Amino acid sequence: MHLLETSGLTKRFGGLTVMHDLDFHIDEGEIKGFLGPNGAGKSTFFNLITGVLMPTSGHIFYAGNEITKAKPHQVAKMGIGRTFQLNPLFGDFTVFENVTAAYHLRPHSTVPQVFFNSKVYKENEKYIAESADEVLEFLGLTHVRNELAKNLPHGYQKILGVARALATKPKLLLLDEPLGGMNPEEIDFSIKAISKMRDKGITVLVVEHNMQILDILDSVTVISFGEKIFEGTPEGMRQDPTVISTYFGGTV
Amino acid sequence: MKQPVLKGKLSLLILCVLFFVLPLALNSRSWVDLFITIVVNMVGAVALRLIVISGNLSFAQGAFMGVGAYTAGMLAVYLNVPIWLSIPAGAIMATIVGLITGWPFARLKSVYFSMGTMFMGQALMLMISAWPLAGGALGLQRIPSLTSALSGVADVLHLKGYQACYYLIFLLALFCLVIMYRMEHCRIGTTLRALAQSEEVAASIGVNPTFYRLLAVGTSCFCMGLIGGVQSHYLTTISYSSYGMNTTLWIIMYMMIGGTGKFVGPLYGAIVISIVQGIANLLTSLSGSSNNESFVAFAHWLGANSAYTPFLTAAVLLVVAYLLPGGLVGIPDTIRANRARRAEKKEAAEIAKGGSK
Repeated sequence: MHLLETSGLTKRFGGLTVMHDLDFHIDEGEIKGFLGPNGAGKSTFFNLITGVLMPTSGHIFYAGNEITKAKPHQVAKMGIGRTFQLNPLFGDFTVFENVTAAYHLRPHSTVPQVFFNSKVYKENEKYIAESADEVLEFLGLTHVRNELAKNLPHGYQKILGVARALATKPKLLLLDEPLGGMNPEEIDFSIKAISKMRDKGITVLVVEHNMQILDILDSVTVISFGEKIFEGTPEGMRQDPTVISTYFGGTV
Repeated sequence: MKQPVLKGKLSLLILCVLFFVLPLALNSRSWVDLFITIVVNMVGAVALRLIVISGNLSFAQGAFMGVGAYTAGMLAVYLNVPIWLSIPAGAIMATIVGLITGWPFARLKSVYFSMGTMFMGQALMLMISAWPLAGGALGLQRIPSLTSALSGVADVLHLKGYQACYYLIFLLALFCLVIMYRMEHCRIGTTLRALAQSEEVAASIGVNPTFYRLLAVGTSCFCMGLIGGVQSHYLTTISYSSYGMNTTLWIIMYMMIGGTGKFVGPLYGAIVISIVQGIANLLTSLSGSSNNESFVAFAHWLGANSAYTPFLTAAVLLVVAYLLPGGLVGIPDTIRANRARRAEKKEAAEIAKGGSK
């Protein structure tokens, strides 16, 4: 059984088909790339999986359960974390608060538990504070812990988005262009961090333009204009003639 | 980081003591009436702020107060329900109406939410005004009075009737304020703020936006209904016009002038503006027996119910929005920001001078 599977996934906006009959799967423990030129439908795919958009037809299964019609917060509850390409954070919160706020589900305190300051809530909050600091350290954000998120440089904001998604303790993490707008040092750091997530038992699906990401990918799906044009290993992708002509442009 | 927290709590404690002691010391009905008005307005402003924290501005606060007031009043008038039941019933009714109407509005954002709640609030009050059982345009009259219900307690405690009423309203208000203070200062408040900043991101970490928006709206309506219910028994006559757009706008004024940044903001706003309103009303009533024409004209111009009130309040709001974006509680921050900006300008000017040499 695949961790995430889509079958015949189609999305139309009026007459425009942005995703056509897509069959996709990702297995547990993989780092998989979801690549394609601008406007290929990559972000749409993320939004379909996480319930932000409803597919026109087709099905999405997560760990054997159908989640085609699940709402965003229900999808998060099932263990799918995600980052956003734009608008990735709570700007008026500090870095630390951004991460602690993300422990909404795991550990979960019910509203009465929170309101009456129960023992469970206090223990949860104590655990959250420690765990959030660990996440910040893992992603190298400890030195900006108390800065307001909106004051951070762009690269750090992207990393903070990843930290927030990690804090939801996902089984499957969807990263939407995690390297976009980063300088070379930040790119190296982020790539290492992503590959370390596999060791933590997190399955990662990553949308990216930067080809440096290929080094850590286990498998790749390439789409163009909403249709799958390649499925296989990164090496295979580099030599595939269809991919070369549509993605890199022209012939080699 | 620790000191401001302590400071905030200290000012709350001082306010609490003042509102407990002063009505006891000021032994006159008009003073205690002013305190009742302030306390009621405080709850209104803080309850509105709870919704504002979650990123929306409700324009139906006055109407929910009206739902509480009319529910409590009508239960007592027609079914002889004792005060101890009718007031909580008003709060529960306001909560139910708030949740039912809030459910579709929870999907709306910012200005659309405001517009939706505004029209709904107006519609609710129009319905009440057209309902013969609710007294129609004349209002609901002969509601069993709180003063007589509390007369036994007042005698035992050696309080005057109106003072006993004040303390009951004060206790209920305190109950509401404590609930809302706690909600804001725990994880619920964090979640509401997160929701205000980005609903998309909040949903991605597992927050159910509708649930949390309704939690804020429900709590807010409960407090409005409770305070409206007890007020109707105190006034013994209520009219739908006292829960219309005007009331809602005043509540928004208290909140904005006080400042939405901190819990104490709306409290200060309610105190300052209610006192100004009180003075204006006093002047208006004084002008009735005065022969000085210009004084009469001035008092009418200033009076809280005069035709010029909307212009005055608009002017005050504009001044606050322009000069004090953080409201009264934001004054220290505003001054600090202005100072920093001036220092920066000076530095830049000096650098420019140095460069030209």
